Amino acid sequence: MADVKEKYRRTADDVQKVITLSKLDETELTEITQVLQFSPESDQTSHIKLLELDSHLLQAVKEGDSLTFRGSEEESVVLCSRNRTYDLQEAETSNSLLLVPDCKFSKETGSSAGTCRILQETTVKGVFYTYFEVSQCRPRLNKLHKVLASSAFNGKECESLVDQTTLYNWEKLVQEIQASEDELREALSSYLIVNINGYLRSLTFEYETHALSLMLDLIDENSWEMDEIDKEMSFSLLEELIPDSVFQVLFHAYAEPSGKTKENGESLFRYNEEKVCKFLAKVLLAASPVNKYDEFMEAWKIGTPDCMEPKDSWLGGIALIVFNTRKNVKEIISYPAADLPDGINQRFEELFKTKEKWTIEEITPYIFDLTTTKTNVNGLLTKYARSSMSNGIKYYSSKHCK
Amino acid sequence: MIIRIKKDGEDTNEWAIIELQGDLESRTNQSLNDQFIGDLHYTKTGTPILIVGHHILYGKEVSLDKPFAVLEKIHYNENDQVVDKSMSDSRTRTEYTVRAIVKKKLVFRVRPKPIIANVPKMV
Amino acid sequence: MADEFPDPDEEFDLVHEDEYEILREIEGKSCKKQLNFSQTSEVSTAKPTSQRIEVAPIPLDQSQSVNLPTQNGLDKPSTTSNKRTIEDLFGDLKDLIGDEDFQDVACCEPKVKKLCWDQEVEIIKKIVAGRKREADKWKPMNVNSNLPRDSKKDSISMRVPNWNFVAVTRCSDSQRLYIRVKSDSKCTVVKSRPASGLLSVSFSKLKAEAEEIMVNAAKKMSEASGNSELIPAAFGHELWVDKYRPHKYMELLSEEGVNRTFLRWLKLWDKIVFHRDPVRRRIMKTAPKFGDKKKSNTAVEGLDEKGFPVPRIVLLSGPPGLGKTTLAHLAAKHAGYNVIDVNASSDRGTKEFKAALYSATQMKAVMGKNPKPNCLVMDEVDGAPPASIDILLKFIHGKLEEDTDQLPKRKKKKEKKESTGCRRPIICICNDAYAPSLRALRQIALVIPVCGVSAGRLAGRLMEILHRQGLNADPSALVSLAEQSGCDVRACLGALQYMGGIKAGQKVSIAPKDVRRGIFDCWREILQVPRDKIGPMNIKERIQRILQVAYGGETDLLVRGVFHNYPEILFRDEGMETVAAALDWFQLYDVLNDTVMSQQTWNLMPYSNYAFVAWHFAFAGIQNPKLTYPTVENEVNQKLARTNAILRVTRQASGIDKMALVFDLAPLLTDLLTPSLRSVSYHLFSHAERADLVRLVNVLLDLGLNLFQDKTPEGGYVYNLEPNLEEVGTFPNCRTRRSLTYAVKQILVREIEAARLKKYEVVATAISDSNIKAGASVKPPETQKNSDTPSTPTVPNHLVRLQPITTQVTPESHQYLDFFGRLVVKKSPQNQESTGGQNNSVSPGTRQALSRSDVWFKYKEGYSNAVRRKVRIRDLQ
Repeated sequence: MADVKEKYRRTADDVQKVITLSKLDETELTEITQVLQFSPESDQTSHIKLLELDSHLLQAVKEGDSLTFRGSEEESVVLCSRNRTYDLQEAETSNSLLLVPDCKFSKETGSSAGTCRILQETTVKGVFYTYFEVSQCRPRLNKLHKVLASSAFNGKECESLVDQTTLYNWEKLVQEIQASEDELREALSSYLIVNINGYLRSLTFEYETHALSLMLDLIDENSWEMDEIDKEMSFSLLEELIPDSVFQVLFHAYAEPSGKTKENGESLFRYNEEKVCKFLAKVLLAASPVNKYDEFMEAWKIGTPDCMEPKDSWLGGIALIVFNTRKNVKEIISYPAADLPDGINQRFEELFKTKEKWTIEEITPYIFDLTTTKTNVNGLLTKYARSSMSNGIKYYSSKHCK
Repeated sequence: MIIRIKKDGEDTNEWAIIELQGDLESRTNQSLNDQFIGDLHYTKTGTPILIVGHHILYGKEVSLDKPFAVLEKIHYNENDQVVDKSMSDSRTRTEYTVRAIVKKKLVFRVRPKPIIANVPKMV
Repeated sequence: MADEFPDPDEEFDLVHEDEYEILREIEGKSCKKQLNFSQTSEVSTAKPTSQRIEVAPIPLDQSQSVNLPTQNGLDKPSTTSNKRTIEDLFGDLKDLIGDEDFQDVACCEPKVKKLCWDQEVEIIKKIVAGRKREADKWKPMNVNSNLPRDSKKDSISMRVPNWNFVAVTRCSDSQRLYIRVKSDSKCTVVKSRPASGLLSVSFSKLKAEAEEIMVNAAKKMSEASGNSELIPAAFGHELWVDKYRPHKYMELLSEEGVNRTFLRWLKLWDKIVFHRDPVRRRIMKTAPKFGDKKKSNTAVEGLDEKGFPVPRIVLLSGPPGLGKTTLAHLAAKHAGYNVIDVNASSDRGTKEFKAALYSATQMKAVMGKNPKPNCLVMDEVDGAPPASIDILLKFIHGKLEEDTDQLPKRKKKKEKKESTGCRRPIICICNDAYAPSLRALRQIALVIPVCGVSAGRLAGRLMEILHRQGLNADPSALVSLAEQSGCDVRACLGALQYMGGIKAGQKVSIAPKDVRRGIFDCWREILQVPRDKIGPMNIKERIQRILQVAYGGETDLLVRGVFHNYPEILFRDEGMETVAAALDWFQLYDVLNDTVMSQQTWNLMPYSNYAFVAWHFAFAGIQNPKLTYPTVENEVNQKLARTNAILRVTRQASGIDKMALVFDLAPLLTDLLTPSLRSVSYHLFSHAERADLVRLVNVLLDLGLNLFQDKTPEGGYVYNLEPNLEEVGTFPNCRTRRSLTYAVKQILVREIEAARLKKYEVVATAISDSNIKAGASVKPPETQKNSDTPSTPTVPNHLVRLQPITTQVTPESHQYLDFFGRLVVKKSPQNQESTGGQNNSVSPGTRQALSRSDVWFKYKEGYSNAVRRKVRIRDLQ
């Protein structure tokens, strides 16, 4: 067996013989025969990974944009381009994938007209059975709350209590959150995260309540019309109480330009009725999680500014309206979507445990964050729930339940 | 934790993948390093033919829907110097470099045909 | 006398008459002292007064029934016991040496000397001297007078003798007599010899005389039958017991139900013995039509498939003097059998017992007008040694292996051909059916308890007898006599005969029967209020009686019986106080007994007896209690022993402490060993089920348990644990717990076997491995071989077939072999290389090109890329 170990050089002669032996018609073959050979380090391929790319990523690679793997030690890794987040999984195949650096394809081999067989040594870099598969997903922002909660802003007076080491600036946050930078930036505003002195701070629920009620109180105090909210005036009135950056974020989160303008051309604003009402509902529910429907609606009505009319449909994602058969009353039960588990299966399990049958309207706010570009709410429901018709209304229930 | 994937140089190499339904194994349980595998021919119609040992395999050329990037892991120490893999520790930084893009592969899926070597001579 | 059935005394006397004769001569004919070596019969015990009468001259022709009364146990019984053994030997020798009568005497002389060394020498000497004198006397004398008597003694036997014989039946009483057959050939041998001093008379003369004697003997015997009619007339010459013994079935005194049951059983043997359908004969239950229609054996009630009566043996039990023996004999005769009487309690060796069994049941008289089959009556089986009972049991079922040296070959062959067991009825008679030695026999035998005759009925019969004797008697006196004797017929008759009738009002005082009371009677005594004529006895008397019972022995059994039976008795008990008090007494008894037994303080012993008095007053009722034998303790003891055995075995196998086994393992075992396995094929088991099965097998192996197939009485098969630890943990009569089905157990058994084998294999390979390591030379070629042929089991078939080619081609040395037989190419390998290139044909070079690479392709049948794994950041680092 010793001769086998010696480096074997394939000769054209050998190739010819084999062709004959294989009963191939040599004239049918192109001239170039690639002699495949393992590289001397073909067994050391652990440092080489195959990463599947979609067109967006391919483009990014081609343009030299940097891609990043993100995740802490124990998290499953995401791949981020500048503005997209991808879920990364290792796929294993039973086929062996031979990575061949300088392989010629058929088009490249059939050019010359010579009859002489040309041998070309081609090295196989290694054999692979796994590759990374990517699929676009939503940025994983749930962590944002947890990360920032310990350093949440609770008013100027409480600043001294905040541990300086728990404060996050942008660089630190980027390391932590599995999202592309563009997506993270976008998320900061929607999550009401405020840049205070270069640190990114979330607002505590109490502070948000406090600040928002101060802002809303101005409406009555100044007898503003609904769509004639003066931002500058509001700010100047509240400057003492609410820091500038916080006010800016809060105001823009709840108010939008109404289209009207002041005399000086500055635009006037109106508060988003739904957003405000929803938030007030949260405040109410935080105080008492279970309420009778009528009592709750009344309290809610009182709590909101006079110009606003709360609707129970806005409670989606915050609370459930259920009929308590025992007490024979309609009840509103606090059920915030944010508290639900992240995993799809666990989420549905939890949902159906809470309530057996859901209409699509009811369930949407609770599963909306699970949707991706590929699967919408309906897709999720088709896959994870079972639909049934009752009195002409389509209900979704657990797939495995009886 | 962020691990960056950098691009090496301006243009990307294009490599190929040969996908075999089956495994290449050594008869003598030796390492495959540096071993001769077989001959890869193309017919004039573009069908790749691979002869491995006593087997002849017919395949086809496929363009990949999702191309592969070939990433190579590189460890850097604090001074941004490339270090050997074995030297890596907590202070080293890992980065990946895109070595090549694979857009096409040769797939050999059908059952290989044996080459009968010792056909008795015709008398 | 004519009807005397041989009892041990007689047998013994018969055999030893020679000796008696001599002794008598020694002591002088005038001397009335006679020897009786045996225990006296019941008759003589009962009435010592009768001795004088018995000494009365014995009828000459009834020489075999010499009944020697005890006058005074003058000579040592020890002599007799030893003599008997000599006699036994002597009997064997006789056959070997010859049949000459006086040779016996000559032969036995040295024997006596040799073997009786420890005897009182004088007596032996006297005997020897006497014998010599006898022999001398005979020589000159004509043999005439002595020979017939002697020869009869040696040549006629009522029992099946050891020598060759001809059986004859005496007409008077159908008694079987065995007459020695003297072989002619032996006579001629003697004749051919020159007349020496051996014979004083010429052989021919002797023969003529012998023939004459035989004729005389026959004549006398036939006369005897005639005589017997006359003799009874002579008062006092015959015992009334014998005289008025029932001669017909109808005359039997015993209860009709008993008689019938017994007779019916005997009739069941007709099928086997007489080859006729017993049903037709049976008058009792089955309608005759039934038997006519169906002649097959199986249809007959009470018979097994081979035609044997279902209990193959009968056991008559009852107190003495009730006529059990009479019943057995009469019924057997009635059913057409010739009765062979064997006394089982005589201390014979097992060999002799076996021989007697065989001869009695397998022989049939060939002489006589209508030869009758034998019926074996074994009297007093309760006195037989257990070994004999054992033999009897085996014999009944044909499991007894014959002793070759004991029996002629003819019989042996027959026995081998059909070892179905005894083909003749065997009747066992005993006084106490509950004797320990009879336990086994009782289980297989049809036990017929013979109850006592009612005093009135007995008195009637006595009256009749007295009337026939011409005596008058007062009926009331007879009744009291009957009562006093305990309804013992024999005792009553004996008393009457010797008192010469009974007068009215005469107080008869017969010694109370010294009978060992049956244990049931003792229990009854305790558990029933005794009554005399006036009513319940007074308390003092009752206490006396109970104490008497208690002193009687077997206290333990008594207590057990009382404890076992008292709940069944109706006694007055309000608020269970009586029971409580009585139970206190049980406790006291137990404490006392325990103290006595453990500390040997015997002085406490008498107190325990008073417990019986307490129980008597607590429990005794007026009605006759239904008693059963206490079996619970026995059962419990047996169970305990079994459980202990199981635990011991399990402990050895598993190493688990006994207490742990009992408390921690056994109660849970059933559940532990019963995972939910469906009874389907092993291949259909789910993974969980397989895992369960493996676990189960491991548990069983660890505990050293196994499953063994058993046959249920219904004929099915079950698997039981061995040792049955399950039994330890389950209470009897509890709801049966779920257990694995039979099919699953089958699988389980197979798995256990497999696991066992595997274990052995591991051990075996471990041993062989170490062997290989020791002899290192074995290993290298093996490894090389492995690497040469990478034929893993997953390789598809076509590849496997290809492998050998390449391996054979590559090494050059093998090439020769490959081309062996090919005539054309026979070149050196180098040449082949060079020419191969140009050759169009397939050449070795080409082949080499193919196989140059070490790499080969292993095709996979399928393709999958379904596996997805989460990637962690550390995987990428």
